Amino acid sequence: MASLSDVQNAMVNVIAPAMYPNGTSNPSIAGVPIYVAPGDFLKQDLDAGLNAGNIYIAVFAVNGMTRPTTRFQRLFVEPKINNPGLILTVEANTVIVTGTIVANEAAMVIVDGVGYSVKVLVGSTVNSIASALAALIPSASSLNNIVTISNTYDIVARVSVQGTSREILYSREGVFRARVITPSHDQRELVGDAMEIAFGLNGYYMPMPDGLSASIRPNRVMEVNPYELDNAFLRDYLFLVEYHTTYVGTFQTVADTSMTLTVGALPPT
Amino acid sequence: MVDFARVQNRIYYGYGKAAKRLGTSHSIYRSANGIDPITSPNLLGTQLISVDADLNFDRARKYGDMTWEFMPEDGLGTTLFALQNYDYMVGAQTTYFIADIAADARLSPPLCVECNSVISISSPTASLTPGANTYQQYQKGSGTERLRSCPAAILQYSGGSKEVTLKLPTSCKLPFYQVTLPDFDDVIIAAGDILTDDENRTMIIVSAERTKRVLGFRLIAAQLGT
Repeated sequence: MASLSDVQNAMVNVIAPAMYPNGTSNPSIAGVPIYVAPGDFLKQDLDAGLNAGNIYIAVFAVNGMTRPTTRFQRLFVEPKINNPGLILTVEANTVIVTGTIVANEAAMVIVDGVGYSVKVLVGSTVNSIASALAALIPSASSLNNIVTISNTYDIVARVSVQGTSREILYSREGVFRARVITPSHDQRELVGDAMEIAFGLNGYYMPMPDGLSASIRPNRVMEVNPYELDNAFLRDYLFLVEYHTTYVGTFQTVADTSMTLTVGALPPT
Repeated sequence: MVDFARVQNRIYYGYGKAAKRLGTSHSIYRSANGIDPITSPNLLGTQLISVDADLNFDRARKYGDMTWEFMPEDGLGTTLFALQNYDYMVGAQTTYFIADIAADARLSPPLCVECNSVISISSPTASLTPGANTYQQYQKGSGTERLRSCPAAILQYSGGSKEVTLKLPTSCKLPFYQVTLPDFDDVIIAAGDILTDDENRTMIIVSAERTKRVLGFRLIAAQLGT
């Protein structure tokens, strides 16, 4: 899921490279150290740093400026299906088990329309999977990684794998503040402009750890002057960021679409 | 010929004579940096110390004043070792620090401060690197250490109280304290530094008076809490 912290970190990751276009081993655009961080800097760091000519950019969520924007059905979207490790190959009346062992995959063999599956466990081997399949399938035997099935007219082999999918639980739009704190007006202008351009070039979205991007739009900008005697020239850039609280579910792919019905004892009449 | 030094010497000789009869044994510790001052490497030795409100031995102790006058066995170091401002005198029950002894141009009696707490002071700072940084926050125990485990005097300060921030049903206004402690070499205590004590109190220092040659630091600190 994306959280307040994820949004703040993403904004820091947009700002910081713009302050050091040639990397932090080279001078910043202002020629003095520029520190970018989520949260508020410590007073002692700011007091000493501003006196030394340093520049600070603090990214923070503005209190009370969040509104709900949930508007979609709760649907799982963007499935990401793992590539199978196991390989099942059908040759004549045999199924050959090869590939790599990935836990929680399933080896599925459909014989004459009836499915038989074996779960891949940690410690499974291609031979043990072949042996387990042979034990399930009537008239089957195994030798090493080969399952031989007698008296059959149709064999299909598939591997069921796991995948993930995301569901948006809630969406919110919050106001996030990037506060430029510099020892002079000129530096606030220089750094602030560069930061605005960086957000503009970044585009409308910022990547979030859960893979669902957050949208970002510039909002107000304010110059804050009451702290000049404290050696702090401030400019606040406000951004509207919509981010999503998500749940990531784990699913198994379907390997057999047919259903096997077995007629048991009939109910008493 | 009588001069200042001779008079001072005679006065301290008299203190010594009195201390030998009236004083109790105190371990003398001297720390340059205020980091764990009461530890064996800082122990100079012991002296007999006689402590009283005004050296007349006829006045009872009063609230709100932690200062005492005292008579050392050998304040000028004639036979044992000289005492200095900001030395700790650790007795059987009570620890004092010397606020004023052998003043350069004064003949007033030596003054010490009774310590009722053990404090540590740190300055909240973070390790910042140019470019992106992690979340900035103060965390207890972090920052630049100024003092560690220093006996000090903490008294109520009538100058006000601090509004709480969480305003829980059980919250109350938190008091300001006056903290008196030695002035260790090159240790600067500033407003905004965080003080913790052996009673699990945390305070933020809002004012730091440094008398420097004598008396030491006098701090005003606001207790923190919910």
